[in-house]
Amino acid sequence: MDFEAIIMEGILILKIKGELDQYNADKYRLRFDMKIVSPEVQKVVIDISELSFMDSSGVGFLVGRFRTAKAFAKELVLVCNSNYINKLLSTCGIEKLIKKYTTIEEALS
Amino acid sequence: MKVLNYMELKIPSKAQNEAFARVAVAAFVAQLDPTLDEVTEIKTAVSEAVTNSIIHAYEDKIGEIIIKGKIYENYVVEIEVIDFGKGIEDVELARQPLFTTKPDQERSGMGFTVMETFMDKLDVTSEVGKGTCVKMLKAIKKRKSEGAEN
Repeated sequence: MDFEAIIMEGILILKIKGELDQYNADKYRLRFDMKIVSPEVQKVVIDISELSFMDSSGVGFLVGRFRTAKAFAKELVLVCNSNYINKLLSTCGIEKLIKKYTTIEEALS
Repeated sequence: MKVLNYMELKIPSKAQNEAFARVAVAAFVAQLDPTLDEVTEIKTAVSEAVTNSIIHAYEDKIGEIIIKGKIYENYVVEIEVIDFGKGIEDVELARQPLFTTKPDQERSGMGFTVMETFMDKLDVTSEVGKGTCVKMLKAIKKRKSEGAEN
């Protein structure tokens, strides 16, 4: 797994690529949280469109980052257009908790 | 059902082996010419079962995980993930969506639900102090006439 972080007018965009499983979740948890809690960030967009693999540990990771953002009164949304990951997210009921968009443009508007 | 092919893997319960286990199973299943969705679903189910063995069965120690794959006639795949860890006290409870014994560690409690959703059948047998066996079956849609029979 790899990620890119861009901050644009107070919006942090985290684009994750590769495989998000328990091993990578443990590895990246703190690095994501440190970016999310940064004072210049008001809103967080996590783009998981280019993930090639994710399991329920990855879902736990996303929910964890959502909780971090919420604890600091920041909004966190997801961008995802992969059918497989959408099926996983809906199986885990994450859509009731975190807003999801199909494109970055929609998430930013 | 007649077994057409089989494999067995033994790995230590290290987190970096999750990716290896699911890729190995995907390579084994590839001989049935599954769709990308079918492969991804099997990989996800394997990842869930192996993660459970690492996180729950062995917790802070390293133990052995055995992964068995079988291909039956009619394009049915069986995957077993076996550990010799602490076992599950109440399997029915553990299989409930959102149930987790480790809420502080960002566990979603959805592992068994994901296995059930992505595979056709899921059997979990466990004995406290002895270990757990997760057996999953999935029927691959037949896409070509030859292949599994050869």
